[in-house]
Amino acid sequence: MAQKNVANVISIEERRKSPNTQHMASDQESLGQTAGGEEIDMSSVEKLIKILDIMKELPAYFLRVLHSLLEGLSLSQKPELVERFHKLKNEWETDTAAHSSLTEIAMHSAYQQIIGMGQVAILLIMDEIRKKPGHWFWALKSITGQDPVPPEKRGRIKDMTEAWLHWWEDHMYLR
Amino acid sequence: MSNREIEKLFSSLQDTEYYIASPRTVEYNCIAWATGDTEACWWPDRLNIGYWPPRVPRQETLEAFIRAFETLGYITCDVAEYEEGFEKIAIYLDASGKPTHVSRQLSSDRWTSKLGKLEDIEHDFDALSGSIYGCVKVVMKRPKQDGMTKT
Repeated sequence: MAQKNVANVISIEERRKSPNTQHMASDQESLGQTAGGEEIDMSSVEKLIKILDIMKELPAYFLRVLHSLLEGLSLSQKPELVERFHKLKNEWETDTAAHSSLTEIAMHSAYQQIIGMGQVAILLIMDEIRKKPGHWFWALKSITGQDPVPPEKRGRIKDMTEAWLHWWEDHMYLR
Repeated sequence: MSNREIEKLFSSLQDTEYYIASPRTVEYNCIAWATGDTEACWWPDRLNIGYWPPRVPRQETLEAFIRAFETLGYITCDVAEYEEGFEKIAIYLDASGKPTHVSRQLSSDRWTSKLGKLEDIEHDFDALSGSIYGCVKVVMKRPKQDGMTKT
């Protein structure tokens, strides 16, 4: 029954778009029944048509968010990875708090272990920089092999964070 | 970070007068602070993360640091004492000769430093010597700049 209804909705939708008014008139006559003569709830069909219309216009952004949520869900099923990341992050932040050398900061063993976590770390780092900017750029560059920061923005933590967040929005669905 | 925590990192501060002059931030570092820039982190790292003056080698060497400050009008000098009409910076090197930190002179006895990702502090000359920054090896000076008002 459900399959028949969906087939009907698609068929109605196709004809609805046709400029041929004869089809429209024909639709109006047959709207209340399936091909097999079964009665269907017309208000539900119209709602479905509206939903289909909306879905066609959904921006790719929605799909990206969905993908991100799914990745987040998969991470939530691996709490040990999240816990490991935060433990390493805390160790790194404490040990390098007084350092100015970006090399020293990035060469810290905990930071290198975070880089070693690969793609998983990207999602967690993006979560971090969304909340609080930090020296995550070396890790992001090392893991992704990308650099979305224009040369004139080098060193400018706010701008670099923004560039990476934009990059993330553009690329997370494509990975 | 509290004074006590800062003194844990820099024990040589314990017997000196110093105070915390700003909230902590990662948006600029000691080199930037020494130049008066509060919007960028300066460092000649291999991955081109930090800002570094154009045409100065991106090398973590004393020579590269001196050249970076030369682009701002500084020249090396022999004394750290205050000289009327000049502003000075002090470059710290670790035991292997790598630059680790830069302080900027405020007045006759006082210097200012951004402590990595932590706060700025006002302190005595050479008060940050120790295991983290090593010690001051080079002092540079330039005529006082009108725009250089950040303290």
